[in-house]
Amino acid sequence: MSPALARMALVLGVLLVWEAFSRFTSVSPILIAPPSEVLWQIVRIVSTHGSVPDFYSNLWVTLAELLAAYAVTASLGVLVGFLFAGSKLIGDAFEPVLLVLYAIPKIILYPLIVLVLGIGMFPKIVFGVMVGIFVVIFNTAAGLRQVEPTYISLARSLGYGKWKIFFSVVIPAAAPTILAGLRLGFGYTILGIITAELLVVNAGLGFLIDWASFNYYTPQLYALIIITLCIGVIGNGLFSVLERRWVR
Amino acid sequence: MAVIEVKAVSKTYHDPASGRETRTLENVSLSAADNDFLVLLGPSGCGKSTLLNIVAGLVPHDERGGEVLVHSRRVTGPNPKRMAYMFQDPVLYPWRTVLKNVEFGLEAQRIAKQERRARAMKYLQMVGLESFADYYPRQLSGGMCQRVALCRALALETDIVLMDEPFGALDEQSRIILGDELVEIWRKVRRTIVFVTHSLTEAVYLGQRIVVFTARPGRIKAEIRNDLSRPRSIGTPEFNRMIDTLWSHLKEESLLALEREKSTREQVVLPKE
Amino acid sequence: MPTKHLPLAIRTAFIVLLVLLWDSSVRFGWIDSLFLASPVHTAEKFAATTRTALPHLYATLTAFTVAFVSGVLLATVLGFAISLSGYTYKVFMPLLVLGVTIPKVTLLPLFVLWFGIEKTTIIVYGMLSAFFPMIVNVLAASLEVKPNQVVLARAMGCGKVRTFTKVIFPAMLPVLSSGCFYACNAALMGVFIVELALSRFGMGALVHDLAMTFRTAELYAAVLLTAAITVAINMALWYAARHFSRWRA
Repeated sequence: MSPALARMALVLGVLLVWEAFSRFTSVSPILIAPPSEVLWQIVRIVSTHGSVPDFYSNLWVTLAELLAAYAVTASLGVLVGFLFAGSKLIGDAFEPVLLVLYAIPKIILYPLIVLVLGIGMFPKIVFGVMVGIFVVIFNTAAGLRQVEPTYISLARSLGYGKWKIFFSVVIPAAAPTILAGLRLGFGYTILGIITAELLVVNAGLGFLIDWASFNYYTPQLYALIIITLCIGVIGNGLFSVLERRWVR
Repeated sequence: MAVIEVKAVSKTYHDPASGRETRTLENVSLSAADNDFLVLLGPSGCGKSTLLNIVAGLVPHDERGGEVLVHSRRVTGPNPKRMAYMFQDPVLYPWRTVLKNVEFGLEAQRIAKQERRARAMKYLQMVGLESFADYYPRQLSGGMCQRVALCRALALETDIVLMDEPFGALDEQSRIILGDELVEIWRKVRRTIVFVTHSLTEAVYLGQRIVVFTARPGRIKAEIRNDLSRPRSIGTPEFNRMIDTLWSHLKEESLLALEREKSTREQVVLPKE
Repeated sequence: MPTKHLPLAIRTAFIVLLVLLWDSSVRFGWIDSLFLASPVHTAEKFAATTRTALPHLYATLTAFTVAFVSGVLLATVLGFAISLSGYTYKVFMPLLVLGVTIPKVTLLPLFVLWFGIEKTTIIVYGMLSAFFPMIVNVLAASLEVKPNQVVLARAMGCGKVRTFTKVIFPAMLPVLSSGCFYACNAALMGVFIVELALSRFGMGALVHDLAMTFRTAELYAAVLLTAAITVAINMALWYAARHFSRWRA
């Protein structure tokens, strides 16, 4: 059996056990909902048959926060990465600062952020950026620094000018690492946004999840969690596709 | 009295993926006496490395008929007390210093720390690397690494040393120099050396007895005694005559091996040894 | 000034500038002091806050240690088991990588549902956070062992145990230690997230409480204290990981 098939069989097996366990044992339905019911809830939620309040407006809040945060993370992160790789002085001066900041679990700063920026979309976006930007910066700088010097010498010997070398040699050579950083950064940004939404609940998918758990609507809770996880998985999948197309 | 005896040994590989069977050795018999310098020479794929691995006890030979005896005892597995083995790749453990790498085999035999150190340093001195004892492999050149591997094999102080194309990855100068060192050491201490190579020059330069293999399945084509006086000089008439003799046996086998490589579209994947 | 010290000088100047900016914005009322405490005020409160924080710090660190150690141990045992066969590696690795990349915080409400607002939730979540990065690294580490190295050990007469301790384990150590580094970070994050969410135990609870009651200077002090400790733990592990990797090319 191919590994992929075995994996699918494994997942199916787990789902079956889960289904049997939740239906045929005396475990409270508050704790576990069977996959079939969860699936049904997902369908209901997505087609807005009133399973949860205002699904799409909340979904849009989360997606908007995610897009805004990621836009900043990606652009600012790559820019700073270029800065660090381009100027040895700036890199040597500020990278240690960033390393120390990276070492702090940014979650501990969240109450502070909420205190200063209040409740709403803005603090969540800021937090998302804070969590995601480091890996983008580090990967971008590393990718640029690791371009083989021989690639550049070759281009120079062929008469390429500085900017042409930059765009035709350096960027394509660094692209895989930078892309990997952007991909990880996306994962971290989602993590940041959702964490923020769950901690200080006011809108978005986090709000819905909190609502479901507060009211013990367990099937909806499972469904919402899965939907949220799907966003992460879909995003990751998109990056995989991009990687395959651009990084031959 | 023969120290190593190989009697009618055959080896067949079964490729689990494609189910194909490949005969790499066919009915090989040879022997090595005490203090012999035996060279196994043949085209690539002829099974000479396989035979070495069988003698070393790393790989079993086909069951029907055939046996391998070392000091009149059957070989059932690796025996580092009797036989030292040297790979083509130095395989130094990068997390150990040069000294600790040489001591590695001795640790397995539970030899006391002081004795280990003494033995290791003795052989490092023999190859002139004693000042590099605390260096790490990544700081050494390819030739130096292979020297360390040689020390490691010699430090086991076994009667028999098996070497599988140990100088294959080195440049020509290193090969000659290390070859000289090897012969020096061989003359100083009584060891039986079995040396696998595909280089004619190396075979004539080092070997006392040279066994020429056929292309796959490997059989013994010829056994030639090399009585050139040492130290040997490459390029002298006697030397060249020896090379011609070997080449006359080896030529058609090499061509055959080359033809076979070109014609087989399906590459048989043999376990790398 | 020799150019060698220039980066350090720039860095220090930058930090000093930030602190001055911080101080000015409070002093000149650019931001309401309800949200922003002055550096001086924070420094004053630092000692007192540290004293109050001690029991909370202890709670957080114990939870972290239990979560980290159990997560790493479980990951190591399972990781070794899975790495024994190329087939199991191929089957499980993508699933485990998925486990690292999904935002596990989404599952937090479920954990609270199952384990309640208890210390167990903190530890279980922390353990899960540490588990996935570690096991992925254990599997990656198993690829570091070259077949030749194992064959050599056999030729030298090493039995299974000795081959493991002298060859397999040292080869895996650099990637294993970097796995510990990532697991530690993840466990710290996980523990803090749950503590903040539950607001009942540990430093998370303290920070939450200080924020809710607008004791801004103490909040800053507490955050600085936590930051200092976590940075110290992180640096320690980072240097350890580097130490174990120093023989690599």
